[in-house]
Amino acid sequence: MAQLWHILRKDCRYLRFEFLLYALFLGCYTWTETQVVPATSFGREIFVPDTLRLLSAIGMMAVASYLIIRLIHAEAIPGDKQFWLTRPYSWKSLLGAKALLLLLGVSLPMLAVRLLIFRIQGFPLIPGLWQLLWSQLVMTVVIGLAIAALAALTAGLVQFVIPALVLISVAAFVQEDAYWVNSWPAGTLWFRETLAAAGLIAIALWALHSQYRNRNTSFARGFALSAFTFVGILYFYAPWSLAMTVNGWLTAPMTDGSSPGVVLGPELKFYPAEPGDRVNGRLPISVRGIPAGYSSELQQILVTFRGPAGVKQEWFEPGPLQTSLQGLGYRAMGAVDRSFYDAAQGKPMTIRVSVDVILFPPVQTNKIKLSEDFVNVVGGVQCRGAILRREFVEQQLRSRSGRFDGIECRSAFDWPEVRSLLTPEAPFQPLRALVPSHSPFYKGALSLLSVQTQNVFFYRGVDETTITAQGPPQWYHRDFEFRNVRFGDTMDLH
Amino acid sequence: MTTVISAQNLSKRFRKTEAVEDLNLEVSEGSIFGLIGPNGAGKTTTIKILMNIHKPSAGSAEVIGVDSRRLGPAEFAKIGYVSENQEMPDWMTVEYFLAYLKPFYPTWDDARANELLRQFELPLKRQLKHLSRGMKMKASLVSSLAYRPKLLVLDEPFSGLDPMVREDLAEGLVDSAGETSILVSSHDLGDIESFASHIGYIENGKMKFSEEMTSLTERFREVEVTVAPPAAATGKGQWPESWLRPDKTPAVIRFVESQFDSERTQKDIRRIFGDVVQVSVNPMPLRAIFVALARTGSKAAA
Repeated sequence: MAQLWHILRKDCRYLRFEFLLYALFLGCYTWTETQVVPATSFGREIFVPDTLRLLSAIGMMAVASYLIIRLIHAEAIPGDKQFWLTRPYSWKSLLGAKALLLLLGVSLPMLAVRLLIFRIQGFPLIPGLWQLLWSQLVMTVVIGLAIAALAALTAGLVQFVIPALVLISVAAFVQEDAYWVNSWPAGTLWFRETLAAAGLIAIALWALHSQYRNRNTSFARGFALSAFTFVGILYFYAPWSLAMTVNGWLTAPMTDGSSPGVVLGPELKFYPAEPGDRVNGRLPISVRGIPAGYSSELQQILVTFRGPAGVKQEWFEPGPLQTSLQGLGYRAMGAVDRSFYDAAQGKPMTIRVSVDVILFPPVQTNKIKLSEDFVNVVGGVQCRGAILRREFVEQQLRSRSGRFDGIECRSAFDWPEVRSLLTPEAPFQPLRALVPSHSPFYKGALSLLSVQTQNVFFYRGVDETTITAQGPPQWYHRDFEFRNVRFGDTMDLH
Repeated sequence: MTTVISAQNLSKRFRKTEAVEDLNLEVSEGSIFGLIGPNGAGKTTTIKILMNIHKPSAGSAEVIGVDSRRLGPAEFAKIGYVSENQEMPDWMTVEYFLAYLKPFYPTWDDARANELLRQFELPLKRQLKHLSRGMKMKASLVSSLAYRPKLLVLDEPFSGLDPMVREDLAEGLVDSAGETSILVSSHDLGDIESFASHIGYIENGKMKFSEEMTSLTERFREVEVTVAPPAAATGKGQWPESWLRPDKTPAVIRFVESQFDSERTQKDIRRIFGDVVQVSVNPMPLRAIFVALARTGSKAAA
């Protein structure tokens, strides 16, 4: 332990100028993030364009990354000429000192600064603090560890930059092109991203441990590259049905003991809408047993057709919503291969349907006076009335004419899981579209901009408005099966 | 006598290059072992294997009683290592460098460190990056001698240094000899012949010979045989393998006897040349011995 502190003190001294630079960027970040009211002008705020905010956040992250690289390279692992190799260093003390300085010198100041911004902006401490802590931890573990691991596999800054650029390009390419290679429904994307992030963390932890303990750089580089490729392949080619299954495992029971039911019917229709290889289908789905005051939303639907023609898995999108006496009805839309359709037509099949359902709790209504002070609306969202600044109007609205009024709503770090509507002036205009996620990395984990300002709605001459909000939602996963169903059946499947 | 370094059949291959091949080495406690050989002979690789910087491809080595592959903090607290191309923490001042290293070594002796600092006249407040090559070597040596190591390993410490600095470093080493066993490598025999007690010659990754300095100088002689012409310098019968680099003229034969024994050598001369006019036997300086060995492929070295 004494050796750990001794190395840590040495690194503090070694990196004193880098720490000074980091402090400068943290200050810059704090300043831009606390001037963040770009849309409005009540005479107090300085107009800070989003570009400047982003630049200061990126600058802070760049210096933090540089600090981590320098910290690891102070006792570089690859190579055979470093003085420390033949000194009585304990690998545990060395790794511990680096990890501790990463935590105390890089992550903790960033957390403190973000907390300061959070408080200056006037957000309530609870529950924002937990979100902030979680966000900082995820940022440290995902980004900090990855940088440290790559630094442990390289001997200098130049050696670091080249593979880093390659890896970033590959990651960007994978994320950009994954949709085209193997598209996943929105509600399952969290699983793919979580898989990649967890893989990255595991590789980084292994690389750090292996390098500090064994110093076998060639092997560690080869293994890390293979593991990275494997994670990439998994990201591309893992079936999204797997994510549906995991969604099912993570489903929580209703708090009041009731449970929504999902049924198929009354009719199953397939029709060749256009000549081509695919036959479009319509799958009627009804959601029943929703508690009073709650509302539901269907997410992705996995349909497995099993019959004499073989097994076929398809992904259906929730179609238009209908309300009936029996419950909420959807017409899920999808398509199957024409060859499968032709082979299976008229023959009995078993249809297995897996579906994710989101339930929103009853609506909360808030009537707010429009003034220059933000008012807490729901789940961390704050709103106020505002007169837009001329600069904002010119920049965002491409307009030079006159004065604009509006409502400005904001949230710390990222938007909470709420669905909010401005009424009656902006009927059914949601503040944010929800993307279902079970991801531990969700909740603004990697958001650099401290305050998210969303959907400023413009109107004139109103002193107060009503905001309705629903949240947080609950997720459900349901599997059900029907036997002896045929394509083209119009019979009631209940 | 106990050994501080013992290597058996040590080999190291870098892809297609065999840097060290079947190398055996013994360094006795208290000795100053000079490992010499031309550039690229495998000296640095051997030392790096011994210091657990590289793993051997085959064979094994024990350093202060521990397998070289298992050398850890406890052993490095008793070993000093100085190398010509070591990457030092250049941002540190000499003073901070020593202060930083001190807590790593339970046996650190401030008095010894100060004595060495005085001896080497090192500027304490100057950063290592602003020191000359010689000064840097001195700083490195101070940091490796201040804890009175059991073993000191030096890889080409004199390379590129001016004679004054060489002299200073050599003095520092000699002062530490006795309590510290020393393994020092060099491509130039002149650097170490004045203080090495043992010598090992390495070439193409192979140890050609390894023995005490005194025995080495005793067994090598330059012999000049004057014969009566036309008895011819070819003589009769097979020449002993221990005769290196024969140089023949019709009347005079010169060679290096690598296994000198007065009686046996005289007997061999008489057997081959019969009655000779004169035999002159001269001791050889180390440099001449090594030149003879290097040029003959060291067949008779052992």
